[in-house]
Amino acid sequence: MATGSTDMEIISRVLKGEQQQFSVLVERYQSIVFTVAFRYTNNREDAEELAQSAFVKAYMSLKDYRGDAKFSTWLYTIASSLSLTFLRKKRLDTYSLDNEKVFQLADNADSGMRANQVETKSKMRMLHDAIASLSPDDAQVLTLFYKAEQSLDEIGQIIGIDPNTAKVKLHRARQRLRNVLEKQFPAELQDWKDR
Amino acid sequence: MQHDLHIEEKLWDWLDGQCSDAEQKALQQLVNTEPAWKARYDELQQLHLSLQHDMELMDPSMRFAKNVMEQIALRSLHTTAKNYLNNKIIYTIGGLFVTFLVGVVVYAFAMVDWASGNKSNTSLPVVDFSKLDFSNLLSGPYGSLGMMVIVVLAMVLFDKYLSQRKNRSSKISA
Repeated sequence: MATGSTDMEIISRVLKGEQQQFSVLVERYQSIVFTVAFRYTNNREDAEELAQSAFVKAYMSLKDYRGDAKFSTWLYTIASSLSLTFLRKKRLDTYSLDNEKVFQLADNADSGMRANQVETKSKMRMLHDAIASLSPDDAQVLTLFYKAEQSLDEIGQIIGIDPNTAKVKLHRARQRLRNVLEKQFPAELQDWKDR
Repeated sequence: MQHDLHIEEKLWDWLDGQCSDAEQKALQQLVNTEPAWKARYDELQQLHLSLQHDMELMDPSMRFAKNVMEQIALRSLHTTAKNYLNNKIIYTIGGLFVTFLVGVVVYAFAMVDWASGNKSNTSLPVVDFSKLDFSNLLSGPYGSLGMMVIVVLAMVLFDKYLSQRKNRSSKISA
């Protein structure tokens, strides 16, 4: 398997008929595509189905990929649009910061576990929980910027907005994340600041 | 409040590497001299670093890549078969089959002596089921005809099943 090859090299082999080479790309991007899908669905099974559909759709349209953008950007665009369609169909309850329910949930979670669990909660888990309580849009922008290494231009391309709007969205997402952290994990946040 | 937001925006630009060299120097100066800017910078940098290093990606199931490749193989097979089987040929065969059936029915009606009316001496046969030989039922011409009908029905049902599956998967990928 061509695990060390670039995306473009693998794509050209796949287009020449080496279908199995596509599995290298699947393994390379499965975690991010799955995470992006999960941000929208909040359900592992649905996220896995969406991520699979994104890869299958990418494979079927590989001939149309012209290489103007990075393969990852193109793939995340497919995953993102499939996830949005899924969300529209399912009309999932999204946890937006505008919604008072989030704060209520945070308060409930807070009072129950503050006594002994909060201290031992890892930074990763805390961040994961905080991101999970953001809206899918905010969570997706943060994932794409920090984990998928997409620039603001590329994020704009994926979501279908201009780069300046992507920048504003990223600022707001971080702002909301800070609000959630301050509300849900004030002790840990203070700990960070003190270090 | 507005001032705070402005500071924050500038600092995020700096942390994201979106500032020019001159802007960077000016911000550095502010952070070094202004305690408010310094405090906010430290706070944002902590969050920035945490997002860079502590944000976890989620892993799908172990079989994920295999499942994707299986689906791709199935789709490729379906596409190949679609290209291989020309719709015109299928419609021609179907047309011939229907014409043949219509011909048989017309021929059967033509053979009936409609003029005889009620004067016919023929009566319905009385079947003695105990003497029926079922072993010849499948090997005779009726047996072949019956088998053909069953095969055609099976193909129709199979086609229906495949198109339902196709519709379901295209709904997901739509």
